[in-house]
Amino acid sequence: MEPVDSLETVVPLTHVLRDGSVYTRLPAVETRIKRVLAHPKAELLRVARCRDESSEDFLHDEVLVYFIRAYHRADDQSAVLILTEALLARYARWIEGRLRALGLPSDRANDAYQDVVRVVIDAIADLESDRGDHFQVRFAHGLRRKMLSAYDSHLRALEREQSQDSLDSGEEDEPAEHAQSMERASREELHSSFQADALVFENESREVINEALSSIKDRRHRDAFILRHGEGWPITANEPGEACLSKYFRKSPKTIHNWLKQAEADLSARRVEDQ
Amino acid sequence: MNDNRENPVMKDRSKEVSLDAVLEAFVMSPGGPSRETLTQWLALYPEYADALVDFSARWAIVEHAPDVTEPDETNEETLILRGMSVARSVLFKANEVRRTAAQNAAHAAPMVPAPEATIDRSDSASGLVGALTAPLDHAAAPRDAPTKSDDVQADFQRDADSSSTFGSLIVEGLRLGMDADTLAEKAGVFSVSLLSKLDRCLISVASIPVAILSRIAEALDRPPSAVEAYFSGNPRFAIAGQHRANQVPELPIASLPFFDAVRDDPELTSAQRSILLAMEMRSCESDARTSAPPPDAPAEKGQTRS
Repeated sequence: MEPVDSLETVVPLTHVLRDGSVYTRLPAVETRIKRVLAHPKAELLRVARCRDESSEDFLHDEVLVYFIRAYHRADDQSAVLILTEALLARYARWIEGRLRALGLPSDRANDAYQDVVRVVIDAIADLESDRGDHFQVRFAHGLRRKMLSAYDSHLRALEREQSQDSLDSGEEDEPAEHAQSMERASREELHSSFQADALVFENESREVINEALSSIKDRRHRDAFILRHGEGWPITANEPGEACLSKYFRKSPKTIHNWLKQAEADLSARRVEDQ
Repeated sequence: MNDNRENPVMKDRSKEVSLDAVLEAFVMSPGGPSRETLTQWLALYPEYADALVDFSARWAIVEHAPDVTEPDETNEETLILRGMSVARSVLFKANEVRRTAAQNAAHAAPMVPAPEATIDRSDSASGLVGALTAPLDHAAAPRDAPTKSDDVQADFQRDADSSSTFGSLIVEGLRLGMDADTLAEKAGVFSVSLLSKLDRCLISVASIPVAILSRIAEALDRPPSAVEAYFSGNPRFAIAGQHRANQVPELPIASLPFFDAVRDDPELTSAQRSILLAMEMRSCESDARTSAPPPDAPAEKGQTRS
């Protein structure tokens, strides 16, 4: 609950963490909110539409969230709608694009996109709780998390549909192969693979990476490649409890190894085409 | 949360922690989700190992996964319109909840003399009641005078009690329990994008087929004259996404002909577009047949008032 008028003074966040501390906005966000409060509302509504991060007018996402709540509390729905639209305009394409990049078909991505908007706005507009406080701390992180939740829900629904289709057509997955090859595979050999070019993304631009990864045809191969070479995930765990590709994809190390080989082959083919 | 301090969820294992709380803390932790931080979190929460691994993997993949481009990909304006339709619905429901709570509180409270025409905005209940009893109460908004921008905005409270006028097609639909998709279907325009253009009064009123106007009026349980009067109003705010820098947003000067909007609408299927454009054909044929219609002739289906 906000005890004082959030349009007169900056109201602190109230979400209490388990150690008794409370979420705190970044200092730059606090400063910007104070500056906005010193100006007329019309000025806020004008600069809210600015999407140029290098502009002096640019408002942090967290600042927009603060004022969406503040004007919602003040029952000024005109301002709420303008600020909400300004915030949405920054991320609409990104949310939908990422959902599709993760593999959702267009219609599912569109539904998931609307789910993301629904849960984010619902949390921000809930004046009786502080469950949306994290959107004033790191909006992009909070949004990404909600997007992944929506993705999970729609992915599960898709998998159920595909599973039913698979049952109908009599196909089977590879459980037997998985168990056997977990024993067969030489962990040392697998670990030595690709070590030299791990984290290859570090020195490349987004465009170069985007273009290169687009040439990997199979989405699972591409995801494995991203985790292996973008994030340094091992194929199998070096230690108990360590995250690894085999565990994530629930496939045998051999299968993962083959996926990565195929991804490499796709990349090589592209290089040849480029030359 | 301060970026420089440890994450509190990591400190206290004495109580059960929900997966949701763990994931939130993981996301908001100083390093954010990464392979390095994941190792620590797996050690702390082995019971959520699978969920943490899945989450971290997807967090990383979403960062790097290449863009998917298709020729028919939804354009940004349509995405924003769809998102705003959802947002309006959520905000409308939130206001309904607050309204009900305020009414309940008012019924429960002992009768006391009302303060003299003051609205204490620090009290959400009285502020809400004030807003509900006044049309577009700019006095309840902070500090400054209404602006040109304010004047053209939709507002949930505006004209709430009027039987002949209303503030927004979409909000009016929400009042009646219809989201924008449902209203678009009932109105026969099929597309939320097209409905939003109508909602924002961006379509030339003379070009709107009578059949569409009638269906909207029927869906909203309003007289056609009220809907026509609404469409004759000033255009409303443009899409925020079109204003990228230090520009003051400009409203379109010229209204868009209805059938041009139909032709350009990316959401319509070819079948839906054909249905709508058939109204234009009928309208043209009707115009050709009756070059000088009698003044009291009833409008044909598909006829426009141009």
